[in-house]
Amino acid sequence: MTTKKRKITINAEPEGWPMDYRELNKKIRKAIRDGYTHLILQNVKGQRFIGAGIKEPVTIEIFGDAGLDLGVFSEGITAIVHGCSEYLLGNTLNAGELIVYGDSWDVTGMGARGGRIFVMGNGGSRIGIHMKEFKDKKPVIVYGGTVKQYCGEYMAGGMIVVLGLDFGDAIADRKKPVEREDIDPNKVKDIIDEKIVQSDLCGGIHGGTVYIRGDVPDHSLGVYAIKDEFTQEDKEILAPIIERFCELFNVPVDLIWKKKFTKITPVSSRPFGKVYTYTPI
Amino acid sequence: MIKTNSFTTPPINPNHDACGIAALLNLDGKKVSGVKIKNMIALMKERENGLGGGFAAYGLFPKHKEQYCIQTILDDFEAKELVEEFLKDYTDILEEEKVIVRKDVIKEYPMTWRFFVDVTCKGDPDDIIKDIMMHINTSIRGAFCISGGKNMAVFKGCGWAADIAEFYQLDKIKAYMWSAHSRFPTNTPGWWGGAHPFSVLGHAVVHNGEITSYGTNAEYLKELGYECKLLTDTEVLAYIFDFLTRKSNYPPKIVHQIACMVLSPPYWKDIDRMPPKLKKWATAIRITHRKAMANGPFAIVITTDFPKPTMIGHSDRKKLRPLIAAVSEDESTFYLSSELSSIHLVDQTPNFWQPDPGKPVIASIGEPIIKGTKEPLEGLPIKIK
Amino acid sequence: MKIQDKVMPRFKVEIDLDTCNKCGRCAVNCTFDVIDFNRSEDKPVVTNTGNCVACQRCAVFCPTDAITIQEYPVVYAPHGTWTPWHRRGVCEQARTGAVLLTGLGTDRIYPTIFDSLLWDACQVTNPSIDALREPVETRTFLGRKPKKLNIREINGEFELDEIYPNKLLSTPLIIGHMSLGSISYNGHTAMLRAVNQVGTLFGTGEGGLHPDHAPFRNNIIAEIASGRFGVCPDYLNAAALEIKIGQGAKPGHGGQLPGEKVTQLISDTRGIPIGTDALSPNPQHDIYSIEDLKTLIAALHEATEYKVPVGVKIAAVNNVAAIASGIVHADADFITVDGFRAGTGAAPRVVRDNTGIPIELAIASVDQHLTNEGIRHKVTLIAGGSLRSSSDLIKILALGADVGMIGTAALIAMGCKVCQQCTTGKCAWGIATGDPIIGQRIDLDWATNRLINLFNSWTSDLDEVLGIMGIDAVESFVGNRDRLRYIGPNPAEAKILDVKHAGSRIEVGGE
Repeated sequence: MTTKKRKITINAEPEGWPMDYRELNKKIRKAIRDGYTHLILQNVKGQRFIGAGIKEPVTIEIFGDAGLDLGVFSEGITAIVHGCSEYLLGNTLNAGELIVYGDSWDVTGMGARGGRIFVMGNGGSRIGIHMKEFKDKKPVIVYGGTVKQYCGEYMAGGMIVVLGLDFGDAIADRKKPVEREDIDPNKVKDIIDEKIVQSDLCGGIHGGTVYIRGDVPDHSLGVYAIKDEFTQEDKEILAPIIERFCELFNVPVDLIWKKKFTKITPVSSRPFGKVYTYTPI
Repeated sequence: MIKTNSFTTPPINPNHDACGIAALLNLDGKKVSGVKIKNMIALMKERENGLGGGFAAYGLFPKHKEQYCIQTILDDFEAKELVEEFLKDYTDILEEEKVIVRKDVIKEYPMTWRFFVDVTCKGDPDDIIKDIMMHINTSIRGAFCISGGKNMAVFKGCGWAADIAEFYQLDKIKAYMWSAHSRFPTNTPGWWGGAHPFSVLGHAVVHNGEITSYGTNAEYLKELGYECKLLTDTEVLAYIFDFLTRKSNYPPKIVHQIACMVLSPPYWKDIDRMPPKLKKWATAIRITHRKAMANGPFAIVITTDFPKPTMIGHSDRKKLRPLIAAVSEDESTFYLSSELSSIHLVDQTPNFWQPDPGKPVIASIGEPIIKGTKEPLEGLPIKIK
Repeated sequence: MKIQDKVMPRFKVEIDLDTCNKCGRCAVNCTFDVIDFNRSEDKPVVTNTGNCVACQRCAVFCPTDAITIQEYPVVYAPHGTWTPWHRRGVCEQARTGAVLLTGLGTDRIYPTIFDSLLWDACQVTNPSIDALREPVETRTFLGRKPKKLNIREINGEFELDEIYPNKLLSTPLIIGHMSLGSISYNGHTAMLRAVNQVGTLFGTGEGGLHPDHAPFRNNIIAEIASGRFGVCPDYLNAAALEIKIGQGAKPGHGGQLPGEKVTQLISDTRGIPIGTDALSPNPQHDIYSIEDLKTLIAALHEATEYKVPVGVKIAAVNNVAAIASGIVHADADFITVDGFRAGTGAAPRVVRDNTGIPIELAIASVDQHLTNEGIRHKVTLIAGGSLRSSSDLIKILALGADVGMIGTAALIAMGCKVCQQCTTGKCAWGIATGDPIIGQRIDLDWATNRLINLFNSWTSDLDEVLGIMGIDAVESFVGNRDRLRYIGPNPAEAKILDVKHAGSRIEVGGE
């Protein structure tokens, strides 16, 4: 039996001025309660907390810029942003998939416990800070472009991938919210290695893995992070993630594998073991 | 005017937190009304709590562009007379006017009055105006000078930022450079002087953050002849910037770069990796002005007319407050904002970027924008004697 | 000596012969002739418990922990005014007619202002920093700084005048002056090695420079004191030079190394014949005024071609703030202020225990005074005088010092138990002794490592505390009295410190 996917469109700017986020989120929750499984939000302009705490497996498609804390605490939604997302995307995400056809700034996936985050463009500071994994829950963050300082800080599990791709010329019509079809696969370019990551990469990492597509200078590594050999096994782990990214953003898979990845891992799971002393004095 | 308490006297214990900041600069020098900036700041209503908003605007008084515009808020006429008498001792008042406001927006408000003055007493006119501002703000009862630069003014008060814009009728005012601030303090209402932008001479600072180095900075400023008495940590940023630009004699072309490097110097580990000349410069700058470093989380927009109209977006080295920069597609307008959506609200197709932590974005009319993606002095022809 | 001259012992040493394994280490280690090993009975014997100074050498070296040292169980009749300490002092002076000489810092119980201070931390409005994972910088530069730089634009190029030489310290902590002679060769060498590895400085005191220590010259603050021992062009080629006006334990007092202690080692270092008295007069006889100080500073600047920072060390006395100001005007590049609790190799007890003011008040007062005069930025301010822990260091930085200075803490790291017998030269731990044999009791590598650990752990503590205050570079903390609060009993003290009382609300908010 096939049930028709129930779609609903919500205009986030009904009267010429962006709707208050409380009102928008109320409408979203009501639509979900009413059984809609595919919500389309039009004219979104920075409204916060979209999808907060929702555990129904719904799809929320956002046209415009999502506000901060998109998908915070959620467990199983699919959010697709045709635009950018402010900071704290996927804060404490538990499951589901968050997709951004644009940039998303600081502290993406903070403390994420599961789920996947795919961002086409660039990130700011502290991407994937303190992500963790438990049993079969392994959060994944993929950035198409570049990230800044402290990526993967205190990381305890999961995976962060930074691809160093420039979509600048690949998007023809910039007036329109970006969708897959708007991306010209032949015009996606590589960004030079020096710009892909910044300093203090994985400072204090004690679990999980970070893959950077390109070389990472030693001085960019944070405390207790080391570069490790990128093996065939890593390639196999990465392959499905890369395929999903390429499918979402219309990038040829071959292009991705043309450059070598750098793998970053923790020195140990207890890097700061010697910092403190417990002897009674 | 209904007056229940003073607008111009600081309450004893202000204590504030996160704020919204937005700014725009017309790179062609064309003047635009305050509608755009109002909308930008109004969109970020979540970042304020209705206890403070303000705007700085440049290019307002072509007729009086050589005079200092002493813009004051006053509790009563008596205060106005005190200010006027005080000003007459040091300046010629060429013209004065009451700033027309909308009476139906805000319930309680002070009178806003501006004086266009020429300095008549001996000394550096800028220093004298700076001292005049400090004196009014600390010593004249019932009066507060909210700006004192040339061809610019600050409009601020207690209320939601959008209401403050309506109150001062910014839609009827045109300026080539605007900055805006919406405030989230937890202090007692009624303190109009404490709203932002914080301005001294032609500089205006809007600030989201907290300066944990305040004590050290204030001590340093005391050495340099600035007394910090206005109970806002933004004050130290404005004075540090004033000292480093106007009083330092650093070459005009790089003075903003140096000032920003002082506020958020590169880490030593990055200085160690610099090419030799840059390393010496960075070391000299950092250790000479070590107590002017601004520590703690901040994102700021500094607008200034010194040495020429310039807008600077800057952040702390650890990037603990948001800041997004953008340029319109036709490269006519430069934007800064806490949130990207507020830029998108007024411009659909800007080219935007996030500046690197602790690296300034500097835009001025007729100059290429310094984008804040490298050390501000990197690549410049510098040498050591 | 008549029997009435006898003073009851201070400590009682007992050896539990049931657990003692008769190895005799206690007797070998005791340098105060307390324990002897009786060969005929094959056991250690406490022969003179009255000599014991509780240095713990015997107890620590006893493999079976068979030795106990307690206060001697003959009590003085209790008296609130006439403490045993006073009674003993009167007796000793009545017996000898002499000045009581002592070592280390004062052992009198004065209230310590450090213990009345607490610091701030971030909550909500500003995030604290995780110092383990994100940079927190402690690098500090010792030397003169200009008010502003000289930068010019010439033909499109920007030219910077080089600034005064500054010495880089990896952490704002140095070891204060202790001369070779007052400290054993191994102790001295360990401290030099440690500061070399840490990247900081050690003041080598009035002791000259031993040829073996030349490789450490970039980590040495060479002292120009009243005796001028070993001062030559080569000696001046150090990381920094310091004119010693006074030291906290004995302001206004010089020193004398008696001829019998001037051994081959001291002779080589100080450049004087073996067996002659090495006298450091009370004043420097070319400095009778502030102009004279300026002259000497200028002479040192000239002699070193302005490449080496020249500083002045003064004891914290009543007028310390004004004196410091004079020193800045005399062109010093740094000022070291030594509080009244500071240690010494030997000083009259009456001077050590009663002269000067606490470093906390001195530094706060100097910092404020120089700030008000607009000259604070020019100099580096070093503060010492019993910094007992990283918390004292952190508090002294907030009170206005750029750099903290330790002495006793470094000695404790090398084994010192603070028995205050430095003046006797009998140090059983081989630290404060000129005896070449006992001096070898310090294992060089071990002691170096202990000192490095001390530096590292205090620096980590500083990192952590700066982090919780949301400060990521120490220069933003120097003089940041705003982040301290006072919980002591005396509001006058808080006022001089310019520190608010705990519970005072913050007047300046963020945005």
